[in-house]
Amino acid sequence: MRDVLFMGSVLASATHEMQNIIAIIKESGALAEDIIAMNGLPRMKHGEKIPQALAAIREQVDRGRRIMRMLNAFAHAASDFPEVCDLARYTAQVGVLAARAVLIKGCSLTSAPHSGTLPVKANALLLMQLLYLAVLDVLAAAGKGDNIVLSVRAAQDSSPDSGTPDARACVALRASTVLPLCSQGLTSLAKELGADCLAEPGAIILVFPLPEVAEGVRP
Amino acid sequence: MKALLFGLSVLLIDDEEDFAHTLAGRLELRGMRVLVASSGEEGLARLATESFDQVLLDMRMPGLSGAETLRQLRSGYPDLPVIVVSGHSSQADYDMVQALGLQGYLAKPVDFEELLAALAKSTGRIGQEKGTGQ
Repeated sequence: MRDVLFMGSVLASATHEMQNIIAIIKESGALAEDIIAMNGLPRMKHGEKIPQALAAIREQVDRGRRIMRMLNAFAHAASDFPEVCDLARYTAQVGVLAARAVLIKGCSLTSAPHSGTLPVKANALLLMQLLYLAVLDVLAAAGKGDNIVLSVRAAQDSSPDSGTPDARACVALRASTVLPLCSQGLTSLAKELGADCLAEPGAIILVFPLPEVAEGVRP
Repeated sequence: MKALLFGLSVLLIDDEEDFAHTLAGRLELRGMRVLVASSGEEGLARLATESFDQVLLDMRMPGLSGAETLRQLRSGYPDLPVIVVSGHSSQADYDMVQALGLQGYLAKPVDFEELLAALAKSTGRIGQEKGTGQ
């Protein structure tokens, strides 16, 4: 645990610095765009390439910003211990952080939009680890060009014992052409978190019980 | 939005001087008067001699921290609106600034349009004028 806290602390500090650096690059490029918008392009050889270069800076800054925000949140997950975690927020974070692994496999990953929070009782770091392992398990079965769709939703099923509705939160990782298997690591971690892990043709689905009181979720 | 914020005086407290001066330049292009202070101490000293409509405050700074600067701002200038602009976003920081009462909390790198909207809302200038969006 001490190692995790140390790593989280160093990573949080470093990502904070990186966000400052990205912010300076972003504002410098944007200031140049503001000035050009007010005064027009400077008349110089190849001056017409300046907007293209500034647009590339803007796009890459946005890309870096998304990754760095998620990485910063990941670092803080090591030291923040909310009683319940917002499954929707952490799923979106893992979707961004897994982008490199997805790219290397020649696949793509799309996070389906979800409005509102889905609180589940879990350690944030273990929850992110579970979600990341699920992405890796789907990738292991995927081929080049497959698109993985990551989505979260609340669901209500009738309990076989009482017949009353059970509130659940589900994360689905779908890629229509794959036949994924839940690895031992994924299965055992899901069990540790009180979640179910299901593999079916075209999908891995993680099912979490919803806590009765959904308090303490950071917006 | 530009017309709404024209003439607004802003104290920007941030030790990242390249960031602060570039952001100040963009706000000044929209008609605002911006003074950059590179520490909490300098910011509080400026406030003792000049008045501002708005403070933009970083959280992680050497010397007087953003949190302590915010406590002193709340104590000495309770009506002065403060928006935190920070690259750091721990649960503890977030809870602390919420408890102290803020007009906004924006993560670096800042979405500029979001910042302009927050400034307009924070200073009560939103809704005073229509059709001036930029």
